Amino acid sequence: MSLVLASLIGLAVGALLLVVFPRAHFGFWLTLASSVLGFLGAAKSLASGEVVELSWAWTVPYGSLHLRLDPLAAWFLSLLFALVFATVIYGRAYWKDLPSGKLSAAWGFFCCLVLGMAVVLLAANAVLFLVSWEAMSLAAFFLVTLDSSETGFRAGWIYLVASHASVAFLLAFFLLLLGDSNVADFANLAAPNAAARHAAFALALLGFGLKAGLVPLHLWLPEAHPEAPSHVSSLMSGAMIKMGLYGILRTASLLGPPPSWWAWLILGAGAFSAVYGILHACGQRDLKRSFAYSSIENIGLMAMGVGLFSLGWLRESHALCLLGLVAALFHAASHGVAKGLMFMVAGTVAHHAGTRDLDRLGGLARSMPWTAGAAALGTLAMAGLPPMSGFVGEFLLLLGALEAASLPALRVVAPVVLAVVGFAAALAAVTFLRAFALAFAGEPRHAAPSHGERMGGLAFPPLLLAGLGVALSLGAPWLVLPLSSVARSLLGDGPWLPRLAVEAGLAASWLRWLAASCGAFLLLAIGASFALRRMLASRRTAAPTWDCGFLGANPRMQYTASSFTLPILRLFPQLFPLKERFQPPAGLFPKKARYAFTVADAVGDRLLPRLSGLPRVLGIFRLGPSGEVHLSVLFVALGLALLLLIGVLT
Amino acid sequence: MNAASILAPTALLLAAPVLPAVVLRIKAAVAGRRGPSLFQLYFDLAKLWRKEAILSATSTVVFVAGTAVAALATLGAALLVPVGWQKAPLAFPWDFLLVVGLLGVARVATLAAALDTGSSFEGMGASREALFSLFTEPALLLALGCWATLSGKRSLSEIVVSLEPNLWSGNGGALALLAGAMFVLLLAENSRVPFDDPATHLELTMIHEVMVLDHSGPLLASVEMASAWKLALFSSLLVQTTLPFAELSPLVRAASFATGLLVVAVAVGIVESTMARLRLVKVPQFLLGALGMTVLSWLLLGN
Repeated sequence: MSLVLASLIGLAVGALLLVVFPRAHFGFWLTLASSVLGFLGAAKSLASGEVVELSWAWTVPYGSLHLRLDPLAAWFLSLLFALVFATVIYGRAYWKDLPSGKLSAAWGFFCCLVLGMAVVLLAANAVLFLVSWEAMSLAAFFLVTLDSSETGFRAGWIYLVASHASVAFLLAFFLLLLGDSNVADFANLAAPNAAARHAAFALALLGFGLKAGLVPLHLWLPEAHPEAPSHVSSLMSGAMIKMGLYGILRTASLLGPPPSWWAWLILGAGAFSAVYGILHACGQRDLKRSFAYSSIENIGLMAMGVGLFSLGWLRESHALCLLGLVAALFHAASHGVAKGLMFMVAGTVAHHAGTRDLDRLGGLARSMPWTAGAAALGTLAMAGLPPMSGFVGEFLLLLGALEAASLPALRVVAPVVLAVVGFAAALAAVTFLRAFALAFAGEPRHAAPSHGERMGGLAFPPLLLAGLGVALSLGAPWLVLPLSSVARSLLGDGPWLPRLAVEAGLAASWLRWLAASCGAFLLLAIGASFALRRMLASRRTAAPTWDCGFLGANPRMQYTASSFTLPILRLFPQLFPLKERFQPPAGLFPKKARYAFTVADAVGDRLLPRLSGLPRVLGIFRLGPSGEVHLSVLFVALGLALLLLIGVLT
Repeated sequence: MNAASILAPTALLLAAPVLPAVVLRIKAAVAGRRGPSLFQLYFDLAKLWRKEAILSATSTVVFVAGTAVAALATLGAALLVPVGWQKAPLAFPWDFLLVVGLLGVARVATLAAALDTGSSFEGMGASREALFSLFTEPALLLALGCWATLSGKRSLSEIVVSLEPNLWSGNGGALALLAGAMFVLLLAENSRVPFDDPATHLELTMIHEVMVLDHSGPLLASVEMASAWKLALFSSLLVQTTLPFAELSPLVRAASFATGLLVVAVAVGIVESTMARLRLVKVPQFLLGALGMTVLSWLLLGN
């Protein structure tokens, strides 16, 4: 805990230094050192499995500066600090050309975002939790709108509305559980009756689900992620949406075994999000928008893990409980690392080629080999393929499903989870292969300004995260035990819990086999590639790509990202409305023909417009013209006075 | 681990190129021709391995590495599959999930190599292969998971070894569905009619072959070798999960295993001779049907 506290103080001081002297070295180094300290502290706490609490009084009503570092928080903190380390290095290179004033603001909000997330994870008091939650959300809003472009503002507003809806649900959630205690520490929160308990679970799912981006609460994600600077997208997608997952798990630890509708709902929403997210990811031309949708898929997979965990909890099945939770947590880290990597790659590509439009990219591997190498590993990780960590996460989830098959009441769960995970993984492989191959392989599809690769700033952090992805996969057997201590801390105590350690040992033994095979495969794959390359070195001839006898081929005739995935998109017209414009060639001497399609979000573009009457209905609550600050202040004052009056009278 | 558990998989990997030749012989026989020798693929492989490679000037290291990784991953998956109802060289709990993963790696590596040439034809093939994989991968996962649940075992070797001789008596319907789905998967994953036509020479209608248009020399040899291994892998899975022969004597097992593989190859040959390739838009529906069959067989399994 002392290391984590030192790192928080270091981050705060580093933020101040970066705001005052945005280009100086010491703020940067201090922030980096703090993230290393924080990572070490969190990892140490996770390894020991102990719970440390610190508490100071706070003058805010119901508030206390109550920090609690338990295995659940430590796991997410480790992920957060690892990502901060990489993103700070990347950010320094990425923001090199920003004017000083803007740079100060950017680093200030960046550190505020990091501190907000760290305190969200540590907070054991509802007020402190909400304040840091708000700090995190607002800092991210300012970072999204940093470029002050029109689309950036639109995205920022959508994000802000979603964040505030989330906070509103969470506020109601905490108020419901507060009872008569005058300090809203987590330990004091309890549901007064069964109905309130159900309501609390529902509110938590809405509030945290909005942050996590579970469908249909996902609309802010594909808007905000592409607009943020790339390393901020890394942090938002890698760590911030995981705060929703953390919150859902924390709710379960606060309130005890969830009701069964909640377990089924979260499993179902997870499965639907996985399929929905990856289908939309596959249809996007914008690299970062595609990655943002893929985050929805991965949050869905994690939610499925939480669903299996809850079902296991309700049915007192150790194996299902453990495998579901370990799958969700492991996949959170694995996705955080891999998606952090891919967003940085997208930023480097955009910086290098001047566009993020996949249909215009191509052939970048030759001018940026290091980034391409990192992207290749990231692609495997995101596709859930061995030897990367994504495969281990999905492996654990599938084990959970197969374990469920042995419970009579849950037999139907297994084939559905298997089919959903298999489909999502296959489509994720296609989506990320498309992103990798069409950006890095082939010929450039349009003339791009070339900057040359800067190894230090922009290429190193993705490589670092790629290494971390490999390490996570190979080190998975040793992570199961610490993760099972998370399960123990969540489940409280029950007579069936001692068996949990046995199950964890079993899972670790399976993962040892898997990690050994993955490691061997990785080494052999590298060896085989080099051997084949060497063998060909003396007897190879370069020639143009075989053009099937058509001599006029040019780079614009290559398959594009759109043409690559259009057959897939056409299969799901309900989930995936395509807007097509087709002007066919006409006449004996056709001159002009065009075909274009854009993809719509079934929820955002079909469902939401049906609610267009809602603002008018809700307008009856509006007492005056909107946008008048003095009126708003007056209403706030009147409202307060009214509440005071009620308080005095009762 | 005894000598047989090393010898049998080695023999299967070495004999794998005979299977595609059997398919060709059957097709030739149906068409009234004699067809190539059963060992033709060995001669082709030896010749290709000695030749020089012509590499597209567009391609990068991804092309060579993708080809190597695809072959290696297929080999790795094949090593996890038991041969002749006895334990595979590599067997551990839940190894069948790794089989699915390694086949996925092989596919992604092949697609990456194809797209690396910047050819629009290879892009087209890659796009179709990607489309099919959306259904074959979950179907394979479900089929293998179904076997695991049915037998209550965790590794592919244990599953195959533990299947009871009276397996079919209780679960006939479910098993028939499962075997049917596995056969459809075998055809789809190995680019066979009615999903793909390995014999066509029109680039627009090919899928797997068009993806390897730019492979030549040793690279083409490793693609051909890997596809022979993959056919052997799927056939051996189909034979060993359909016929519960684990308790017979080793010699009978070896003989019935070899016969089983030949029967599968003959069946593939007959399908290829009597059916035309499906229209591309029909393929996903057909594969979705196979996926539905695996789900159905899962639900039908009584316990």
